[in-house]
Amino acid sequence: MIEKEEKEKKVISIIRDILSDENMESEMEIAESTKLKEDLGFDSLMLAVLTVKIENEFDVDVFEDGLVFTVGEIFSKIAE
Amino acid sequence: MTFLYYKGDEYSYDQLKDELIQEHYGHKIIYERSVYRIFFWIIHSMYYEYPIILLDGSLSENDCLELGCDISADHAFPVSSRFSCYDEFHRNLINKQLLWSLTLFTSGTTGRPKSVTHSIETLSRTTRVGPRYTGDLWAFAYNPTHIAGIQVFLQALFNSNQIFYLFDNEMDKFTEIVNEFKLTRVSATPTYYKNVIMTDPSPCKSIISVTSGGEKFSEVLVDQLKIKFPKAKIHNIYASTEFGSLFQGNGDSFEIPEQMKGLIRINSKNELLVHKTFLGESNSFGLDDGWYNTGDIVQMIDTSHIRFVSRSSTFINVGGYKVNPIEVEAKLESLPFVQDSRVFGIHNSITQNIVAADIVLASDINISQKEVSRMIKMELEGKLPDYAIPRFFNFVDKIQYTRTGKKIRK
Repeated sequence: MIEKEEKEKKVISIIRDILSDENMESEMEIAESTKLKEDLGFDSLMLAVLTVKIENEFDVDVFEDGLVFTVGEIFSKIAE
Repeated sequence: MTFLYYKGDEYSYDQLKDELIQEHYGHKIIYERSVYRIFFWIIHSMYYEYPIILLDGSLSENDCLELGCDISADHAFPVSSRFSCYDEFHRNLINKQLLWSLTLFTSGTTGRPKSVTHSIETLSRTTRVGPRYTGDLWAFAYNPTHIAGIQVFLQALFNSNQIFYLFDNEMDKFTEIVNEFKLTRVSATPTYYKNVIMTDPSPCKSIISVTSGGEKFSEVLVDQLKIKFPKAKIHNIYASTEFGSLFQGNGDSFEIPEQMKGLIRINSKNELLVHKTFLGESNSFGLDDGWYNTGDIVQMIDTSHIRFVSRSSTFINVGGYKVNPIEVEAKLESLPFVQDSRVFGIHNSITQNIVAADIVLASDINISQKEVSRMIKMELEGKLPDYAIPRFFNFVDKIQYTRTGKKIRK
């Protein structure tokens, strides 16, 4: 359980890093239901950075089968 | 009838025709940000038959100078047309009877972009005209100054179709606009389609044709496209700035039209060679006995079909855009705190690749690596297209070179 929480914290910290690298607001609340594109403003290059960083960290290609809309969906993919 | 929908504005064919007839001055260089102005000037140059150079309006004037195009010295000149009306011009356009050329720039293998000049013939090789295409409504999803955008634009212009600009920030409205106006055709990169599906997965039932160039459709994406566009045929186009569109295909395999047989060849390294008759004009093609080496590795399936095994390795394909690592390295090394660099792609399932760089810092630099990454990104903004700016950095002591002085590329 602790491991799950830590993994999720790590994902959120990766997301915040990417936002801050792009000079975008990075301190907002990020929850499972937060949408990557609509709520956080991720474009395809940011999603590409996200997928590479998550793969480096957890060895899972979260976008392999395409559809990931929310932060919660990333959590489920890395928990599989 | 509407010619273009662009950011909430509507431009009609009547307005276009009026402006065409009223504007008696031309420009050699087209350097515009408004999509309507870009299209207007392309049509103007065809109507009055003068050659143009098309530049991406997001380049700085300095970038244009580096390409040999001095915007400040591009003075208007008077023009006159041999056509008595738009319809006469349009008939000549369809019959490809225009004394006209369009020059655009592509990544060169030597690190300096090269210019390629196309005639109406080379640009409209795969353009189709006829009753089947008359009522088409196009979802326009490319940069209008790049070859793919120009080809969609010509397909629409040949058939007097309506164009709905849905590139860049307009992409978020894709599903809404397509469904509201019942658009029928779309051509875009796979990355664009992935984005559209992620933004709104609900189906677009009016689309009858989905085309893509630039990178391969994965099987996963093809399945998703079939759900997103349930009534559409899905095609791939093999095209480049050098030769425009060459083949159409499904998935990996492309059909070689009868008239092209004998004009493409495969060499002993399985690289695809294209005969010079298909190329635009450029003095930097490096032709070998009239043949242009695409660098793409292919395999013959049967006498009429080829399959792409891998694309030319010199370039990094980011979401359908070719990034020349040598160009990016040159920009990096022009920064005072970068001594040496090696640029490469990291594979991912969103944009196929994302640009990364090994960096050797100048010896007197004493700031954190995080800070350096941020500085590099800031410095390169506006000097390189967004997709070409490295997103990952490794800080290394030195870059490996071959004995002949070339960077070792993995």
